[in-house]
This record gives sequence, C-alpha cells and structure tokens, in this order.
Amino acid sequence: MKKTNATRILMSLSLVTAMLMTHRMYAQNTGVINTNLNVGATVLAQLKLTNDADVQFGNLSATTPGHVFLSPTGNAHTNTGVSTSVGKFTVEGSTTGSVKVTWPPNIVLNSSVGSNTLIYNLQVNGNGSDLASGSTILGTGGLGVASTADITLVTGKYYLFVGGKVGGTAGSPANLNAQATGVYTGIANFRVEYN
Amino acid sequence: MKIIAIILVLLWNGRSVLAQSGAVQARVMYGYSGLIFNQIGTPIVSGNQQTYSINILDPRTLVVEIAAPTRTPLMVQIQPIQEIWNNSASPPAFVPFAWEAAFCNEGINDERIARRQAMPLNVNQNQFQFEMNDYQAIPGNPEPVENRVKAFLYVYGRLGPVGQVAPGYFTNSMNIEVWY
Repeated sequence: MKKTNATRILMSLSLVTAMLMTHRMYAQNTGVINTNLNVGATVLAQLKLTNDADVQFGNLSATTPGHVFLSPTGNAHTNTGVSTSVGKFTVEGSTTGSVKVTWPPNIVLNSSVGSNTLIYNLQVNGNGSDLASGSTILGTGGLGVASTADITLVTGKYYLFVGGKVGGTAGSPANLNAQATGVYTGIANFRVEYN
Repeated sequence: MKIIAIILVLLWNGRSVLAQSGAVQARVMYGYSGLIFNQIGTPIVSGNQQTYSINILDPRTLVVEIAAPTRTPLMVQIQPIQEIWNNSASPPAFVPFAWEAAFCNEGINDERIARRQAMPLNVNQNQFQFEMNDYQAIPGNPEPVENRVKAFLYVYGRLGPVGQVAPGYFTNSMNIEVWY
C-alpha cells in the first residue's frame, strides 16, 4: 500500500516527538555521587610524670679510689655512701602511647658551703615494669651523654630509674680528688611528651 | 526524502545530547580514607584545649572530582556534623568538629591549580548549586577530554578545642552528595 504524504508527515512528526521525548528524558538523566566522609581522631590521655624518689649518693669520701657510681638498677654501686637512693619517675598516659623523654645529660651540683660545685653525669634507665633491677639504659651515648629516648608505655605506664656518677667534668666522669666538703644539691628537669 | 533527512539530523543531534548527558563522571580522588586528625608530632591530648585543623592544602582533605559538559548544573549537599564521638566511653564523650568546604567550577582541569582557586562554601548552608563553567585556556590547564570540564569539591575541617574527655578513638561520618 502506498503511503500518502500526509501519512509520511504524521509518521515523521511521531518520530520527531519520540526523539524530543528521548532528548528530554536524557536531559533529566540525573545522577548522584554519594560519599560518606569519615572524621576521626585518637585522643590520648594526659601525660603525667611523677617524681617518686630523688637521687641520693649518700655520704662520700672527698677522695675516692674510683668513680662514684650509683647504678640505676639499684645494685653494683661503687664508692657511694651506705644510704643511697636511685631516682625514680613514673610516666603515665595512653595505654600504648609513644613518648619522648628528655633530660639533662649532666648538671652542676652546688655546695651548701661556699661556691664549690660538683658535676653529676646522669644515667637514665627505663622499664615498662616497676622494677629497677630489670631496667635498661635509655638513649644513645650512655652515661653523661644521652639526653633523650623514645619509650612506649605499657598499659599506660613506664618507669624511669636515675643514677649516674658524680665527679669529673660534663660527659667525662672521674674520681673525687680532695673535693671540698659540703652538701651538694642540684635539680635535673625531666620532660615527657607524646611523639 | 527531505523528511527522512530531517529525521536523520534530529536523530544525530539526539545522540549527541545523549552522549553529553550520560557523560558526567565523578570520583573521590587519591584513595581517600577520611579526615583523620592523628598526626605524628601533633598528638591530640585530652584537656589540652587545642584546636587541630586540616586545611584545603592538606593532603588529608577530601577531594571529589566531577567531569561534565559545560553548563551541566550541579547541586552539592552536605549533611553536617558538629562533633565526633567516643562511644566506647561511658558516658560517650565528644570533641567539637567544624566542617569546611570549597568548590572550584572555573573550568580548571588540573586539581592542584583548582585547589588554589577554590572558593570556600558558606558553612551555614548545606546545599549549594553550581554550573560547570567553560574551560579556561590558561597555562598548565589540561585540555578537556570528550568535551568534559572538571569541577572539584574539597571538604576539610577543624577539630577542638579538646576538653577533658575520656581518651580513645573518636569518630563520626558526614554524608556528601553531588547531584547532576
């Protein structure tokens, strides 16, 4: 059957209409990009540093046959007095926090009499348990040189044990030799901060 | 015959429109894992009252890339959050969080250039409408691919001040939608 012009035009218009509808449909072809943004942070417990015990070398002889050494492990002291005390700090913070400890490698002790001084070279040991005998030396360079160490808290705690040597110069301990008598004291500042 | 030709032309134009309409692409860039404020050297400590920022130039900023034909309308919808929570604590603890965002639809196809030109969004709104602008022929701006220009959405923010809160991991999630 032969199509009339009118039929052809009608068919064309239908096609055009269909096209326009398709066009509009795709123009409205909306989409959405959906993303969930996670926001997170670990909040650490406040760090606390408690001085549990001061360092006491006891009564020393003005002249010693060897270095005056107070071992942070609590034993094997040499040339110290009878009554001694290893220094101790407790660090408290987040469960497994990584903490930087800093301390002076040596300090000057001043005499209660006159202006005499004595050099104290520190040795700092550390342990995750509250046990001086199991503690190990912290930092690099050893006694009188080391001044910083990174430690990891064990169930939120860590223990520092402080000993060292008196006599000699900064970084170079020596025997006491006719040291002026007196009571020598000084302050060593320890600092802890999270890494 | 004329009518058939007209129909063919219309069909051709129709296909062109279809290609453009279906050509919107979007992705979160850089294998993103979130706005995580933990950073070595800047610990977040309970009670320190400090504020921690992730700014637009920070690599931790969320970057959403949208590639679409010029004049494509876009709508960005951000479901804001005001805090992040430690739900393991009893009672649950929170730290304030303030979101920030910026958008660049200036026809810049290079993300690094766009980042510097992005305009901050008003944080008092949570719905924003944009249109893909014409490609900018400036040095360093890559040519459009298949007639698509790019737009970039940046989301970042500020945490704190950190009060006396139970330590632990604090988290929350904000939903971001880009409609086209």
